[in-house]
Amino acid sequence: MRRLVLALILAALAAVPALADRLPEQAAGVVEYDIKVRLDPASKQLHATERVTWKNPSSDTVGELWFHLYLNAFKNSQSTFVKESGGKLRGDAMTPDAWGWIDITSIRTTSGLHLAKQLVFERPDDGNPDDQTVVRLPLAEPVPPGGSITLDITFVAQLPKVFARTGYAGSFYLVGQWFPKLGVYEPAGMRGRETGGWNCHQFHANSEFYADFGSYHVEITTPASFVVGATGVRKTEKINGDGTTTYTYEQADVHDFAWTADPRYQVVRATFSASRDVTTAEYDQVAGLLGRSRAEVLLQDVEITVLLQPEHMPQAQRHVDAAKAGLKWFGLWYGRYPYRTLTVVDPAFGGGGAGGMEYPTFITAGTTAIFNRWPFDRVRAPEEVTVHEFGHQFWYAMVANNEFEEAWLDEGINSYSTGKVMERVYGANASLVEFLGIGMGEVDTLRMSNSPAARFNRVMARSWEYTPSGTYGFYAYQKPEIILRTLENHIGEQTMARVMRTFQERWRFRHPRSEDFFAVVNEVTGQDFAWYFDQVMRGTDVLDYEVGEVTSTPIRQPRGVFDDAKGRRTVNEEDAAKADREAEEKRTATFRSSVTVRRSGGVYFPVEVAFKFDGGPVERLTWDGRDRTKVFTFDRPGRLEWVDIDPDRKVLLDVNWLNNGRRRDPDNRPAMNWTARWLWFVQTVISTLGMI
Amino acid sequence: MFTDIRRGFAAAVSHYRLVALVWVSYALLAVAATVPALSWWHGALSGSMEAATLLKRFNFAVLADALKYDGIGGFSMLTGGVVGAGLLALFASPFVMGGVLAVLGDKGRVHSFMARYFGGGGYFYWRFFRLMLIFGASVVVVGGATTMLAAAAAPLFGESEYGTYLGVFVDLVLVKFVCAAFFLALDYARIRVVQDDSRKMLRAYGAGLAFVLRHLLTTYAAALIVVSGAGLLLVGYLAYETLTPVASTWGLIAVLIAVQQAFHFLRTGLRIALIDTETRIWERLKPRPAVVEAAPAPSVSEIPHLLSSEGDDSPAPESS
Repeated sequence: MRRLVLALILAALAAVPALADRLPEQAAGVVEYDIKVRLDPASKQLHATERVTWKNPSSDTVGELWFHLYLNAFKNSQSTFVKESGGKLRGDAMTPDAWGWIDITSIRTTSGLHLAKQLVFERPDDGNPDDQTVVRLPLAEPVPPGGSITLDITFVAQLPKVFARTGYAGSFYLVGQWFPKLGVYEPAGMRGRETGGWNCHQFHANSEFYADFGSYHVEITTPASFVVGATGVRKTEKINGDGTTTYTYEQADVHDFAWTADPRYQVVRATFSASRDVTTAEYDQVAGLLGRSRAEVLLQDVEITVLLQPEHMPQAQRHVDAAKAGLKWFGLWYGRYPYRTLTVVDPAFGGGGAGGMEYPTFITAGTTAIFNRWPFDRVRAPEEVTVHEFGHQFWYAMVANNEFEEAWLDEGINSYSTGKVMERVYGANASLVEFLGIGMGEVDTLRMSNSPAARFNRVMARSWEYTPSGTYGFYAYQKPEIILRTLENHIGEQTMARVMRTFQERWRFRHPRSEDFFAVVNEVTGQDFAWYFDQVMRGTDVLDYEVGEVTSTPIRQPRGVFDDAKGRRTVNEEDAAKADREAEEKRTATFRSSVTVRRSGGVYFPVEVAFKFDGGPVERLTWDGRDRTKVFTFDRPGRLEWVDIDPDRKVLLDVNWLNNGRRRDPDNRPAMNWTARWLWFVQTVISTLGMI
Repeated sequence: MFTDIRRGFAAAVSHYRLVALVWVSYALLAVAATVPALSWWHGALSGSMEAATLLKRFNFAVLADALKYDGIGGFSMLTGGVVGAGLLALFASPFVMGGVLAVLGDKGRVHSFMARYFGGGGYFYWRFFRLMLIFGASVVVVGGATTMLAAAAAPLFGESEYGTYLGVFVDLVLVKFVCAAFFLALDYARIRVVQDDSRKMLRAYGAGLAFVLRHLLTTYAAALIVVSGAGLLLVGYLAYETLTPVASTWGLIAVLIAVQQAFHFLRTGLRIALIDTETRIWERLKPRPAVVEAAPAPSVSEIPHLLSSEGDDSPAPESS
C-alpha cells in the first residue's frame, strides 16, 4: 500500500515540473552525428558513413575542424599511445600483429566539395610524427559565429584485438572510440581560455575523453546471430535479407557513442523503479541531507540491460543489484539519472581490456567465473566496477570535464562517490572484500595506497605527464578520493553532500575545470579552501603527523629561598622531598605532562589532539598543524595515559596512522594477535617441509 | 588397505609421545622464526593507539602502515625468517623421518623412546638425506616435464573461460598426481631402507617408485584418505578463524594459539599415521624373494641395534 501511495505521489509530481528543480534538463547541443556502420566479423572491420553537423558555439569565425581518430592509436608501435603504454595497459597486453586503424576514405560538404585531401595529421601534445590520432581539416568556407557545417564522411576502421578498451576478442566486439569524432572548440573564456581554439588531444595511454554534447543517431548492422547493445535507446530492429540485422539507436544530450556485439551474450533485463527501489524514508533522508524538497530528489525509472557472458550468469543478479545501487544512490545524492536506459556489458574472456569502461548510458564491467560461487562471491570486484563505471554517468558523461587535462575531476570524484555507495550498500569494513573472516573496505585500500613516497607528482596534471606513467592511477583516482574524504570529514557529511550536489547541478551537461569545483566548495562552505587545494591538488607533498617526545612526571615541591609577604622562607631538600613523598602516597601529587606533536610531511591540516590522564576524561585540543612541531603541556592530578593525534581518524591524508598516538603502558595484545597468526603460517610451512 | 589405515591411525594414537615430540620440535623452530616478527610488531604496535583496531578486525592497512617507514626491512625479516626456518626444517626432515620410522618400527620396545627416536634419526640421516635429494631432482625433472606437457596440451581445452580454467586445473592435478608418485616413492624407499638396512639409495628409491607404480591404487588411496583428513583439519581451523570473534583479549589469544597448536598436533599425527599405514602396506605387499636355499641367519650384531620389523603387527602401548 505504501508503495502504491508513493507511486501515485511520484506520478503526480512527475506531471508537474518542479519549479525548484535545479538540475538542467538537457545539454546545449553542439554536434549531431548520424552514422551507419556495418560490422564485418571476418575481417574485424567496420565500414561506415557518418554525417556530422557542428554548430559554432563561439563568436569566432572558425576556419578548420579538428577530429579524433582514436583507433589509429593501435596502428603501429610508434603511436604515442603504444609508446606510452609499452603495449600494456591495465593488466592487458597487445596481441602481436592485431593492429587497429581508421581511414577516412572520403569527406565532403553538403554542397559536394571533397575535402579528404585537405586532411592534415596534428600532434599537439608531443610532436610525435608517427602519431595519427588527431587530424585537422581546413575549411574552404569558414563557419561563422553561431553558424554550422555538415560533413559527410566515409570511413573504414580495422578493430584491434582488445587490449585497451576497444576491439575484438573471439566473437566479442566492444566498439568504442571508433568514429571520426570532433574535438571541442573552446571559445575565449571557456575553461580559462584567453582565445578561442580547438581542444583536441592525441590519444594517450592514460587519457580518454573530451567532447561536445549533442545527439546521436546510429544504425548498426551485424550478422543476425549477434546480440547488440549500444548507447541510448534502441528505436528499430530490421532483419535484412542478407543474414544481417540493422539496429537503430538514438540518444540526445551525450558526448560519445559506443556499442557492442557478441552472439554469446545472455541478455538480462531489469527495471530500476523509482517507487519500488527507493523508499519514502530514503527520499526524505536524502532531501533532508541536501536541504532540498522531496520533489528535487525524486528519481525516474530506468531500463537496465545486462549483457552477460554465459559463464557469468550466476552473477546476473549481482550486476543488476550493483547497477540499481548506482542508479539509486548517485541519483539521490547528485540528481536523477536523466536517461531512460543503462546497458551493462560483461566483456568476454580474453577481452578483459575492454572492461571497466564508461560511455554514455553504456558501461563495461568485468568479472570471472571464479566469482560465481562461495566463498569468492564475497569478493565484490564485479559490484565495485559496475558501480564505478555507472558513477561515470555523473562524473564524465554529464559533468563532462576534460579528462585529458584534469582526469581527477571525473576519476577522483567518481572514486570518492563509488566508495560512498559501496560503503552504504555493503558496509564500511567489507565494501570490497568479505572473505574467510577478512574484511576490507574502501578506507583500508586508500590507506594502503597512500605512501610517504608518493610525493613526486601533482594531482592536477595532464594525464600523460605523471611520472612514472603508472602513478596515474594513484593521483587520478585514490589521492583525490583521499583528499575529498578528508575534506568531508572536516566540513561534515551534510555540507559535503551539498557541495557535490551543487557541483553536479551547476555543471551538468557542461565542461568544468578544477577551479570550478573549488569555487563550489568555497561557496557552499562559506570558507576559502585555497590553502587546502593549493597544497594537495597543486602541491606534491604528503601529510604525516606523529607524536614526538612525551613526558609525565610529578611536579616537585619548590626548593630554596623564597621571599613573600611574610618575609623570607627557606625550604630545604629534606622537607621538600618529604612533601613530595606524602603527595605521592596520598595521590595528591600534580603531574606535569608534556607532549610534542610533529608534522613530518610538508602538508598541514587542522587536527584534533586527544589526551587522556589517569582518572580524568579525554581532553581534546585543536592544532592548526602549521608549525612543524607543537608542545602541549598540562598540569593534571594524574599521569598522561595516552595521546592521540586525530583520534577520530578524520585526516585520511595522513600517510601513517600508527605513529599518531602513544600509550604510556604498552598494549601487547595487537602484536600478539598478529604474531599468533604469523606463527601458524610459519609453523605450517615448517612442519610441511620438515615432514617430507 | 582400510585395515592398514585404521591401524596406522591407531599407531599414531598410541605413539602420542612421538607425535608430541615432532610437533614440539617444529613448534619451537617456528617460535624461533617468529620471534623477530614479534619483536618488530611489539615495537611498531604496542605503543600505538591505532593498533587497537587489530583487536576489532583483521586489518591489512595497519600492516601497510607498519611497513611505510620501514622500507622493506620488516617484510624482508618476515620472509627471511620463513625461508630460513623452512630450510632448517627441510634439512631436519631426514632426521625426523628416521626417528619416526625407528620408533614405529621397533615393536619390541627394547630401547627407550628417546633412544629409538634420536638413534634412528642419526643412524639414517645421511641415507635419507640422499633419498631426499634424489626425490627433489626427480620432482624437478619429471614435474617440469609434466608441466610442459600440460602446457602443450592446454589448447585442447579451448580458449573459453571454462576451458582455460579446466586446462589449469588439469595441469595442476596432473603435476600433483605425477609428483605424488615420487613423494610416495620417497616414503616407501625410506621404509625399505629401514627394514633392509639398505645403503644403495638410488636402488632403494627405484624400488620405492616401482612399488608405488605397481600398487598405484592402494598407495594413492591410502595417502589420499589421510591427506583428506588434513584438508578437513584446515577447513576446521579456517572456520574457527572465520566464525569466532577476533582474539582481542589475552584469553581469546590464548584460545587461538591453543586451537592453532591443536591443528598442528593433529596434522603431525596424520603424517605419522600415514607413515605407519605405508609401512603396513609395504609389509603386506612388498616383493617376496624367491625361495632359495636358506642362508645362515645374520648374527644379531649385524642388525641395526634399534630396529625390528618382527613381532606383533598391532601397536603396543608406549613403554615409558
